[in-house]
Amino acid sequence: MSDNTPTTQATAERAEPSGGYLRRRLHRYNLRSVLVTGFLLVLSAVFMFPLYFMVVSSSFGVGEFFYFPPKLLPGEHFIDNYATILAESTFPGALFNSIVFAGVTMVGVLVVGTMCGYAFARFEFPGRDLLFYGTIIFTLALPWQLVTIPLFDLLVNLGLVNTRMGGILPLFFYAVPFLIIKQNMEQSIVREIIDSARIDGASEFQIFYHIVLPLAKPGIAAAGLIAFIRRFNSLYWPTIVFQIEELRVATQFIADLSGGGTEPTEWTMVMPAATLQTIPIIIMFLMLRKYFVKGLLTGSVKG
Amino acid sequence: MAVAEQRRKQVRDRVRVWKRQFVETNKFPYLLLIPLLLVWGIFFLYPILWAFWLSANSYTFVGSTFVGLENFVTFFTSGDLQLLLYNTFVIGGIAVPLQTVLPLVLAVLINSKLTKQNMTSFFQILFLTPHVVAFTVIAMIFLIILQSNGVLNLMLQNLAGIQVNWVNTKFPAQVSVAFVHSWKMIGLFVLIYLAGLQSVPRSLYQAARIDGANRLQQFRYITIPQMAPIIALVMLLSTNRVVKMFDVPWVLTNQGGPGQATTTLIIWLYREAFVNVNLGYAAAGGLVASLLLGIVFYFQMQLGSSR
Repeated sequence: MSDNTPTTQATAERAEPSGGYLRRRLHRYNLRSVLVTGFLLVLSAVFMFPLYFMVVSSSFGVGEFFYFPPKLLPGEHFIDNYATILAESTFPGALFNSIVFAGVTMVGVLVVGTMCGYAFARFEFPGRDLLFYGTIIFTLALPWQLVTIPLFDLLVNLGLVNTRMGGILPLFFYAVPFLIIKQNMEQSIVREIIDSARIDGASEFQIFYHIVLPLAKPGIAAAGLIAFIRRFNSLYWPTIVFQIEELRVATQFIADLSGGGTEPTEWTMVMPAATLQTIPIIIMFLMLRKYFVKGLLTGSVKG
Repeated sequence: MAVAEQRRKQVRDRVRVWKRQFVETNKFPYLLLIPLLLVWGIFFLYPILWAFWLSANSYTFVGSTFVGLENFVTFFTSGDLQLLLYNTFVIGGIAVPLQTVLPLVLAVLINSKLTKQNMTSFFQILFLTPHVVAFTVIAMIFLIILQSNGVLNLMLQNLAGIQVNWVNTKFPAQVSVAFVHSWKMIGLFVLIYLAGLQSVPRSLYQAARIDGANRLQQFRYITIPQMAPIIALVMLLSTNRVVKMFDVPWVLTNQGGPGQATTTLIIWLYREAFVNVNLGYAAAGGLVASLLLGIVFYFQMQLGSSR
């Protein structure tokens, strides 16, 4: 529904309103435009409310979550709450575990992904399509959670349950970022550059390292960001493989704080923990949003 | 004799040269694929094959008995399949239309010239922000808003005199799960729609305006038909995500409760495999569900590649 300005402007000029100053002004700015923007702004405010409430309520005292009318301004327990969560709980360790878990996974995914992405994007070799569909597309069709059942059994047999390695290694296989890197390489790496480097006598490895990787940076950034955020936020797989306190990640810590229906939830701990888990991710998203958007569009439309 | 020998040698040489050329030209791509094939083989292919074996056995880490198709028969007759289908249909019946229609309306409004130019990317970023927040965190925030003495109920009680047990009664819990899940997903679909809207030719709208079509008519007769493949794609993506939902009902409604009202496929899998230690049965259920999801994914791919 694109409104083209010539028509609207013409209408606006023709019907020069009588009436007061405000009305004339509104009309000049196009009343409908103001209404639509205003409607979107109100909706965004509603949409953002839960995040606002998370940050604000992280400074509430025990009972202050359940006031009427609801308390919408910061409370007085900011320092208390954050001191408790940072000094007297296992949350700092859990957050550290999250960063290690998501960070190492991301590095592994990028190593595997840039290699296979280049092979699939810029080489013709027998079995290419079969391998591509078998390893990437086919795996996107299956719910990965089904794979985790026998995978857990495998990890038990290898003695890798409740180890960082057991939790991280299986995630080096992650089809969505592979797909993002491959598609980006198809667009950004021109065959002529590779061919001319070959004629100049560069080895295949030199081409990969000095030409392909620098050119593929945007795709690698997009894939890395998606992989990091998805793993940092995940709960299912950590719940299965990290069953001991020392390895628990931040999402597990937060989920475990809900009393499970039998005990009351400790909200004064939940909200600071949730805030500390979320704010770095949001800052990262805002700084690198161009890559994130790129990754989301390739990653979700094609799989 | 000598001639035959010579010819055979010639053929052998040619084969050797061809082989060397084949290896020479294809060595590098195959080398590049080694890490992928390793992680895929060990952590995907092997477990999938193992899942088929598991599904035909009664397996509990310590021992196994071959039971043939019994796990599948139990899955179809015990009511588990019906429960999962029912829950998925109720939650999906709310979440999928919500996640398909609302983002389209938002994207069209954001994209229209009525929105001030400098606001377009602002709104896009704003609606996308919840998409980077963990489902666990989202479910926790909504739990405090939705619980029986939470903000929403206090407002309802004081303004309308009603109270709804949003997380502890069956149907309201399913509604809550659908809405909370949608809160995160809407931004992604706004993004996909916005990208799609760029490809609708401007000239169509101009022609329609000359013919005197108002905005609603333009939306009905140009935007919707032009966007049909993308709308269908979003619907399938949404379905896919709703079926694979885990974190929201796990945290918001206390691991799939009340009763089993929000037990999704993945929560069921987790419970059967890792709580009841019934790996064979869980694998059988998972394989049946994979078949159904595979069909959804097939159509998703058809639409994704037609773009």
